[in-house]
Amino acid sequence: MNTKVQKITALLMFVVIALGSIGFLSYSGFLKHVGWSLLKGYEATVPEDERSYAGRIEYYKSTITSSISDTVDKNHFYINVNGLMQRLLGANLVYDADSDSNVIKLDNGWLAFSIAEFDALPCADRIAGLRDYTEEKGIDFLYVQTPYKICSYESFLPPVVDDYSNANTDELLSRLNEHEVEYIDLRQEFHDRGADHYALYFRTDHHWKPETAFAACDIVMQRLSENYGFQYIEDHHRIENYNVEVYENIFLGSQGNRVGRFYGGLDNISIITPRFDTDFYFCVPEYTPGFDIVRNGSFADTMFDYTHINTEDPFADSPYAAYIGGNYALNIIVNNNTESDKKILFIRDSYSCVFTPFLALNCKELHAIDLRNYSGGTIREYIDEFSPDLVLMMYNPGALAEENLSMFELD
Amino acid sequence: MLFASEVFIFAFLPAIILLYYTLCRRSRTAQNVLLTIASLFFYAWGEPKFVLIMLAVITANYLFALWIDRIRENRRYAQTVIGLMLAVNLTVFFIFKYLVFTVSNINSIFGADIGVPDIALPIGISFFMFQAISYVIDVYRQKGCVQKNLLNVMLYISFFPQLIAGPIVRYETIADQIHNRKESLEDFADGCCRFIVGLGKKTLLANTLALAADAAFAAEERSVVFAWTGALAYSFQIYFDFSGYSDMALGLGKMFGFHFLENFDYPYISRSISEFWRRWHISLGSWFRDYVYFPLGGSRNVTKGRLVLNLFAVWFLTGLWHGANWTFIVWGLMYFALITLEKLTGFSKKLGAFGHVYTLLFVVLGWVLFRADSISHAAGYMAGMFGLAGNRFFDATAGFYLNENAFYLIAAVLFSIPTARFVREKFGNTKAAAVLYPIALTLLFILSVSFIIKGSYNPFIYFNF
Repeated sequence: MNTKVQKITALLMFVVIALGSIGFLSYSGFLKHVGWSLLKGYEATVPEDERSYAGRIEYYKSTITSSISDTVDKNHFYINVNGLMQRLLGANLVYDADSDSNVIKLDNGWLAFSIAEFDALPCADRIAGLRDYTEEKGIDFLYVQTPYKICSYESFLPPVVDDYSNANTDELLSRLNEHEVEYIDLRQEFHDRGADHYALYFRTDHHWKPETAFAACDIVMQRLSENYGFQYIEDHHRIENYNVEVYENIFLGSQGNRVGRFYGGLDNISIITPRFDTDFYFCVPEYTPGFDIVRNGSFADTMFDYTHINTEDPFADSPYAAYIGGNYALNIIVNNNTESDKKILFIRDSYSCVFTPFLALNCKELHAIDLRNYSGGTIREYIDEFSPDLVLMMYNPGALAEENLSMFELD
Repeated sequence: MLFASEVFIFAFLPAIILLYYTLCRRSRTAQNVLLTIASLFFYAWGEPKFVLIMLAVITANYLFALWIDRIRENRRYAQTVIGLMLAVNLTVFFIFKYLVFTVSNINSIFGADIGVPDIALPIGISFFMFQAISYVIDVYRQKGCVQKNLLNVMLYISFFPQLIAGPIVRYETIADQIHNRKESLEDFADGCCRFIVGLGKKTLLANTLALAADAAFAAEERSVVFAWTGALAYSFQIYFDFSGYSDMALGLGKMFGFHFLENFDYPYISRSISEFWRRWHISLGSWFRDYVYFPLGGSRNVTKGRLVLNLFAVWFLTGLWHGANWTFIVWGLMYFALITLEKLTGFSKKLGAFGHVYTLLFVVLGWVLFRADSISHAAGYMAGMFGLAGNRFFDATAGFYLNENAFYLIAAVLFSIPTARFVREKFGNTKAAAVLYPIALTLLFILSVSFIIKGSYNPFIYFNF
């Protein structure tokens, strides 16, 4: 190859390098963060008795490495390029440095994470323990099991991938059965209703769609009206009584984020708001120290944080979190326009973001706690203080994992 | 630090190039000091504590070379110093690389209960130890002048492009370049192109095929097709991993005006095992040839028995160099047997085109031995490759990995043979090539970086050697 061509190639290579280097150096927080970490960070984050020379070096190294990694591809150019290449080459398994985050393209094109095998029995025992506690207090208890994206009836998984989401869940529910804990298995409920399982889910995210949560709320409220003295208001469960605003191609979910917009495409997301009159008090106590988020008004004005809807950059935020604003530690919702006097303590995970607003339409007061983030005391103390009519616990099968054990600290 | 990392590509490399060609531009000493400090930083980034071991090795060999340079004329005295130098270096090498293996084997063979020490292997020790030995011996043989300045020895042994995965640069190759190299824009540009090619081999081919290889070797059962898929994937992985690293090292060297010798020459097109080893890891083969095989007597004017003994020594040591495990020793001895047979009978010359099949078959089987955790694992795997383990011929897992890796396997075959050389010679001077070459290499660079940023699987096989 002649040298002129090689010189052009070298120039292009250094243009690419320079763009990446400028990418992180121009990021305003980079130098500040690295500077702070090198000068004060180690002392500020590591207790004095745990400090060591090797630890200090490791801290500096990881700070610099992660700072560069986090900022060198701010525009997600390389992630999109990588995803495009994977798609063109027909890759059905996109590996990640963290194998839990390997993205699987199911045979139907949906993207998923697989769930590892997990001993769910201790979790079931803890749920049963909480049920016993509520029973002592004269409070009803219901566990709701959401489905997982990978369907137990038709997994569409590649032959080399094992997923234990449904097996773990079966084990949990079987144990709950032994303990005679009341539960709803929404996997079965949706299947029995002939639902197209994968249509219940986003293509690029592991969460269910708002429409699915809406339907799930109908199933849960039917059970609550049958066995727990709640009123079933049919109008609340007919989709024609709602405005459905669809934001097209703005959602790149958790799996999509790891493989870029060209690998699995973008999802639509619906904002579902009632056409009937509503009046809510919505509060996130201590969102930041000394600051509560408080909103008063209609369902549309209180249940959504529209700042999460970003139509420009699908990597920037998750529009899924527009529903109630995301995974708050504690969320208090009072329905001022209902005849119901029921109070619910809702123990939730991220599936509940889109479920909570519809549930709130059907009770007087709803306190939603996410145990991954809540640090205000034990759940039993909260029950004692709040005295709900019902403790409703709803988890998705992904909760059954080592890293989520805090979600089962129910004593 | 890894070449295939964001820190190296977007921070370390541009910073060093910028300083080298701006602040240090007018002084060779300043440039050498910069490269030495950068190299120590590069090594310390991965293993801070092992820098001290490397510095100790460098200092000891710096002193040995000064010593040997003074007393070279006294042959017996000089040979004693060489013996002492080898004893010191090989003792350090043994402690860090083979002591645990040795103690474990003594315990299991003799039923002893000697405490197995907990010793971590310093990255790249096999490479920098061999370069250190090369320095002293080449000074003794007057193939390079002794360095009065310790910094220059540090630069030779610790120079970051070849520090942790080779090639093993002989002192005689770059002794003169330490002071008298000439940087040029042509070399710099050629170095950049070579670096991109190496990065692409490593990130796109080696890392991707590693996934299929790892899955096959980790499987409890594998069909015949899956076993062969895994064995071939590993054969390509190790070639593109190591030759990619060598390409990057050669390219980086050129960016700073250093010219290292080639380390690979399309080994998978060989027609005999002897030819394979003239094309594979050339710097290691020539190191053993010049520092072990020839001093033992080589193959000329020796008896057949002596020849066999010399070959045994070289191939036993070659196997052992690759790792402290029986699999590596048996792998080395397999090559001893094959090469001895070739030398004594010359049968490989009569095989014609079938020589390719014979060579590749044993090379692939050798890689199975090399990759396996134990001899029994390798035996089980090989039995599976030939359907002797009661396994099926084909299964869905094999289909999946073949389908997922079809493009990479085809690319691996094409780049294992001199396709690129053919295209370059045939079309290299056309206008189309002048346009397509920069675009193709820039795309290759962007794709490689995308794999790095994606945080894809990034194992470096040759770090442990």
